[in-house]
Amino acid sequence: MSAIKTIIHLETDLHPIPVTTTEPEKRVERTKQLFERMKNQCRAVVMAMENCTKCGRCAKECHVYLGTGDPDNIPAARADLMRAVYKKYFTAGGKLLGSFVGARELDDELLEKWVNYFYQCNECRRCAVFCPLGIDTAEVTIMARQILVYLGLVPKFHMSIAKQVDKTGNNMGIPKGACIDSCEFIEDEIREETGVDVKIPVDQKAEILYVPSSADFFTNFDTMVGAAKFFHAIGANWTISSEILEAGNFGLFFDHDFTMKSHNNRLVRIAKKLGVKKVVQGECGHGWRAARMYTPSLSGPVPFEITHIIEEAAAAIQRGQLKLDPSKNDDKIVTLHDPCNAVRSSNLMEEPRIVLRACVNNFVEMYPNREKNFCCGSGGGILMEEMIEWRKKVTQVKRDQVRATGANYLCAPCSICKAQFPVAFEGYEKEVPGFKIGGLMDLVGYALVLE
Amino acid sequence: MEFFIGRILPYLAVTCFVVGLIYRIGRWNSAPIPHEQVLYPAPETTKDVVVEIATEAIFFKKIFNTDKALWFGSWFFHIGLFLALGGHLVGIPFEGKQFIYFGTSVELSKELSHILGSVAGIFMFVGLIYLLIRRLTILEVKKISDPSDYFDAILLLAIAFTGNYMRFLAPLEYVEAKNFVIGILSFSPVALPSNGWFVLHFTLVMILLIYFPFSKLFHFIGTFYTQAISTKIAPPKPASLKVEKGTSAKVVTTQKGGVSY
Repeated sequence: MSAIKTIIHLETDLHPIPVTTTEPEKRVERTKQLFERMKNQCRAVVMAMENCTKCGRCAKECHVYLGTGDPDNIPAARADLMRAVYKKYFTAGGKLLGSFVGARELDDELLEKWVNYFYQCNECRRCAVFCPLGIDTAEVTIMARQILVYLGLVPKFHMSIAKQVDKTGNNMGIPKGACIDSCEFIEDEIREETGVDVKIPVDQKAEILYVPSSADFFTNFDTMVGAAKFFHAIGANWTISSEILEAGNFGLFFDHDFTMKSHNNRLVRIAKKLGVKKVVQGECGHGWRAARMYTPSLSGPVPFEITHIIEEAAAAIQRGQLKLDPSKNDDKIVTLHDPCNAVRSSNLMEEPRIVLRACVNNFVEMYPNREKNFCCGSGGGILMEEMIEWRKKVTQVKRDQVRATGANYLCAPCSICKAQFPVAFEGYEKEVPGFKIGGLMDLVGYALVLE
Repeated sequence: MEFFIGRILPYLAVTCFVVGLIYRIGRWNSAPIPHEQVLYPAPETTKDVVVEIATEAIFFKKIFNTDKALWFGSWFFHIGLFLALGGHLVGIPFEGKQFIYFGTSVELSKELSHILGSVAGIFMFVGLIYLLIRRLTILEVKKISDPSDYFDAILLLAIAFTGNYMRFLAPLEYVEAKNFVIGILSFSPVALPSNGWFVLHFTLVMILLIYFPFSKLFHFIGTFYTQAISTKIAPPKPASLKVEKGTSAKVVTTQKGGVSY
């Protein structure tokens, strides 16, 4: 296997990830070694390998299978790509009974399937919600991708983000100067709109470090505006840091060992440097999971709290700290898309609803919702250009869900969802005039009455 | 052959099963849970965790809520198997007279024992038939099935069938089975009962025990391990988010879109 045929484009220069690319003829041998070592590091994977009864309950719950119709995209079949190898080399059953129990020799063809199918998983954990045995296929995908990193098989897209974050601390590559310019621009906009002086402090010593998603400085401008207005309204002593303008942590998707860890350490280092009591994460689903769920295991105990801006907003609303005029949003019928990492993996379940009910008069739940919601179709970082047709296919379910609500504002408090939906809902304005995709803090910003 | 089945196979099978079980559980235990992998909504107390995992294990809640047909096959098979196992453990040593301790007559006890055993056997058999048909006919399930998945079902079906056959058509006295089992347990095996269906039933069960460690069938223990990774008490929310007024964060949803999957 000199050249791998893949649906995604692969990167050859892996800097800053400190691994050396494995020569094609040694890949199979190296994969076995890596798998043998790594399987002992994660019980969720061992259980997924040994415990699946092949009941097929997961098939119809996976939007990727529903959208592509490719049987290898059934979660159990996807995990089987690894399970076959696990059985062959690490279990007595597979060694003795071979293909009778589904064991399979690892070869170039199978490895190629690993690249193709583990990069078609959105790591959304919806199958884990429905699996009667509680098997978490996302963990299998994460381990497979980690092994592929060690082999030097990494998508160009993921690698480009790892490089940007290493250089600038955010996915978009925003340097400090541009960050300050953008903040001044936002301050001017708010002053023009409301006549109120809202400041966005950059690199200041403060009580709160706000970590936005870097896309909030480009496409999701209103999310940043909403966040700035919110912090002003609660009278917070806050700052953003030009060194970490990124809540997102792509390492969660493909490389826990280096990319995820280094981004998390950067967060902790900067929060300590600025002496903050609290880190507030912006609208980013997986970044929220990485910070909230993985900080203790990646970076140890930290001297500050980690919260999400939607949790903060919900608490402020319940305390009566915000003056909101929901009629400002009366032109919208809003439905909420629960981002998978936020809702299933890190509990942003009721808070967005508390905030929405306070900010808009027309809120319609989509169905299914909360932990049973379908992923946007770009989870796991599948945002690459070469996957556009695929991304449209796997979002069919989502379009049906949204269509049934009749909403004209799709609230998706996650930058990946916000980047995916314009692709997925291309041409949808013809069906629903004025259809808009935006965040939740956007709506808070519109409804906030500043004094 | 009779010497092998009656005097060697039982010891071989039990050893294989126990060693395999210990080995598999040891392997599961040795792999750590490196990160927080809780799946929300998460239970709030230890009691909730136990209730959640137990209701899933006993009633198969998830598939009951989402796939009634699968639940029918799966739950009836498993509950039948569980009853049958219990029936063997109690019915054989007490020779079907166990219910006299609840105040019944000997005849009634034997009758009850017979009814319960019949129900268990039929549940098992019907459940398995459905599961096998499902595996053969539903496209997705067929695609992910390995030969061993069919073998598991067929082996269990054969065991249920021979058991049922004995119950309804070729009865074996409890005492015959009892003496045979006592012989094995006291390491002085006696001759196999002459009932050919019993010999077949017994041999198939021994094959099942030997095959167990090499198969997916330990999922009846593995499921607790798997569920415990994601069904657990979640890390607490940061203290600064506490709302004084005691307002509950629960919101009841009334409006709903119309599409369902």
